[in-house]
Amino acid sequence: MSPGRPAPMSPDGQAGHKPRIRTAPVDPGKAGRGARVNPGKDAAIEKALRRAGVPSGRAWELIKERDRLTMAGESRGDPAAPATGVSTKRIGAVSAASCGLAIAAAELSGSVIGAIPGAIFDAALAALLLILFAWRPQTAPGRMLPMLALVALIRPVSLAAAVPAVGPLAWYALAGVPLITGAVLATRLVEDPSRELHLRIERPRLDAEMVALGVPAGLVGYLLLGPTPLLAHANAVGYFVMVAILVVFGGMLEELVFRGLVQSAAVRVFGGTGAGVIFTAALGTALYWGSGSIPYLFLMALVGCAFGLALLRGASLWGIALSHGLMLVTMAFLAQGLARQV
Amino acid sequence: MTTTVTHLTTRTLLSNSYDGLSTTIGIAVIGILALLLLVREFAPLLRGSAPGDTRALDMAIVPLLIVFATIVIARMAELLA
Repeated sequence: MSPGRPAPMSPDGQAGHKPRIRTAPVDPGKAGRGARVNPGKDAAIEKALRRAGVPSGRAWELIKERDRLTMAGESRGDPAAPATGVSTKRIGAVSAASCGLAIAAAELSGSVIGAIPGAIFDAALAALLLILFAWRPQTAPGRMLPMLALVALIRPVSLAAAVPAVGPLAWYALAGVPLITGAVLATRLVEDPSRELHLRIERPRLDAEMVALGVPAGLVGYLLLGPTPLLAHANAVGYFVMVAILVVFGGMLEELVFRGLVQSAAVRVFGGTGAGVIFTAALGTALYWGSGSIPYLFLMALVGCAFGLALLRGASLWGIALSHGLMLVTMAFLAQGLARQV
Repeated sequence: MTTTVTHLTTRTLLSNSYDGLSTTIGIAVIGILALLLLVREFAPLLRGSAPGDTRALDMAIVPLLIVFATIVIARMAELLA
């Protein structure tokens, strides 16, 4: 050591002593269940913190706290959170896919053991998902859980709210009012609804093209499904009410739930736009199982994928919802018109 | 035509009496509503949940309350008719 250069100071202030490296009191391998620890990187951070005068034990505590905050930020879908660890992503994707499969199984079981037991299973599943989210919001699927709960609520609400005496068209409204209320309340869980739910109209031409697509899709849908007329006595007021109910409680409700809420969460959880779009379209298609027409299921799967991709390419949720609404209106008008001719 | 009212839903509604529907799926829905209301009240006490955590429960509680009101009104109308 040169005579002009002062001896390095140890943390306890004694000059000339080599700084003693203390054993970390917190084992990085046990820094919290599921915490992502990179031993090499964390050791370097700990060394840098010690150089800055932070005691070793405190340094490890800070690293542990950073991991905890990162995990919590990721599970809430915080865009500022750093890249997600592979294991956390996988747990989230597997959990979300399992929940989606459970909802699909409940729908499929409806045609085997009856719609009511299937709907009761769906209601129990919805409650379970919501309680899990309320209890541990930092779980890996994060916001996906309440969105899937909303999907699981569709069948029990549609069966419990519909009053047989009032007629088929009113069933759409009776089931639609509670579900659209739930969907609007679910948007409170989305950080930036305008951006994430694609509420801004950025490509009006694409929106117009999507809306126009609703008419041929409705024609194909009518040919594949052959729906029964919704109005017992067709008149101008009846047609107006039918259009309003189908656009609001058919197109807008379904697109807000599936393309808006579920797809935005699925794209995050599955870590890719393709997987998110396919998962959402498959989940939506599973809920059409009760239509009793396999070709119509394929059509709805195609329509779901097309809507999902269009949304990611810049179309707005309004355009997609109107397109879906127009598809339903076309089917209903064709059914009504042909029934009158017969 | 939609996910809310499918062919199976229509068939179930037409083949069951409203009494039958409201005492099976209706009771189940009201049971789930009661459970969620209990969780909403007691979750913050047990777990120290933030208000945002239990807020997610509202998205099911409010629709189920509307369904409950519909069932009550329909049953009352049936009794008065």
